Amino acid sequence: MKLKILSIIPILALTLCAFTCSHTAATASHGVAASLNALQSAEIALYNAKQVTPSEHLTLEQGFKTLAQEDKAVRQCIATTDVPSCVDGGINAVNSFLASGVNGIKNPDSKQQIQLLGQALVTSLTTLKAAL
Amino acid sequence: MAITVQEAIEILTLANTLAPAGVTLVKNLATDLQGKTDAEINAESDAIDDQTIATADAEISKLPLA
Repeated sequence: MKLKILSIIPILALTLCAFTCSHTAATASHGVAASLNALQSAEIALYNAKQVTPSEHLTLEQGFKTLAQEDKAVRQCIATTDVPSCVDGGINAVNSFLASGVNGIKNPDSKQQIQLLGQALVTSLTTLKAAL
Repeated sequence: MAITVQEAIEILTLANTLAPAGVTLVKNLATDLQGKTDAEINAESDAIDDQTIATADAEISKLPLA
């Protein structure tokens, strides 16, 4: 139940934002940062529940750090050039994260949860790209 | 995705008890971003990413494998 609820958080964020946020790149980018933060929170909850191994936790946390740094770089690129291709690096980074780090998770339920949240992150980035 | 009020309350409760970073998300959801400038929103976004990075560093440092 807890995992199902945690998986709802970024989806809820995106849904609420669709009704309450202006459709600017800044608000879309805010959704990306919030979704990534929620994904990390969910992974930590899974790790604390011993549904993610320590080695998997290490790989995933290193991935979150890389993704957050990439997200900041995307935002800086948008502020400088304001072109959709700024987001491509972020999308590629998430897809790489899903293909490598997340695919290595042994627990099928944990893997599914993190994949679901990762896809929400891709949706956030796609929304951001469309806003440019 | 439609959720019930009870589920929303459970999300808020879990965010407070299980995922401290989730509290930031909930607070951000309650914030009207339309009243802020792009620069202010981007500053908030950078702060969220900085928190993600700091949390990752903290989690990694707790692992014996690190």
